[in-house]
Amino acid sequence: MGRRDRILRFTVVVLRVLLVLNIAFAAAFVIAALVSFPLHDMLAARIVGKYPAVDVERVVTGIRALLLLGVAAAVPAHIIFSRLIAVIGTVLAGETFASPNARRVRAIGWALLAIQLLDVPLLLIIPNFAGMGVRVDGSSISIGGWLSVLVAFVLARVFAEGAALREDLEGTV
Amino acid sequence: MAVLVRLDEVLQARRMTLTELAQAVDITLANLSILKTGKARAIRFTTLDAICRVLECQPGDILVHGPGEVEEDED
Repeated sequence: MGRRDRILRFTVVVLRVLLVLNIAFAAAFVIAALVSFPLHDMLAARIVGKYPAVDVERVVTGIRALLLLGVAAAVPAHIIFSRLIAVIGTVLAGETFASPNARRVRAIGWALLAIQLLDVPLLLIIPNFAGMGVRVDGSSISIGGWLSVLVAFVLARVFAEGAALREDLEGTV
Repeated sequence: MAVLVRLDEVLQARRMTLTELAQAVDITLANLSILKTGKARAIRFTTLDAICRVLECQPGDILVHGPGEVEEDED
């Protein structure tokens, strides 16, 4: 049990780091997107310098859209990290089937779904980078990702059942 | 809850306190309090057997079904 606890504690530390990094990157993306307006000419010049054949305006728009997509993705990522930390916290406290966990896992399921759906705008943005060697090869659409959404919703149900059983057990004299 | 616990009445009739019952049936006072106040969600047959044995009564003396709605749990 001690070793498992150590793994869980380590996971919490990793998740906390990811939580902070996620917020930091989201903030950086917002700043980068905003700065791209005053620095538009410089950015355009650098792109033309490296890829003379590309449509610079489309590329710059694509970069901004990607940055905003990154910010949008930070929201579900934050939900996943924070809820997972909370769930692990209850496991460490021996309260695995505490009733809020079902809600947390369901929130993780919705967040995973949101991340999967972000593939759609990503596929729309990628053509902006035509001529820069960026291609859609289908690798961004992952079956594993969609499966994880289903697994999360199933687990949420399992947690709800577990919480109900636990409440019954606690109320049994 | 439609099932009412009449442990208090039976205890009074036997001139027994909840603490004495707890000691006699070897169930914690906390658990018996949960039962007495109607907050229990279930009662084990072993618990019922022990209480009936000590109080010399029938399960029907302790548990009665009355009007009232059964609480539905939310998922």
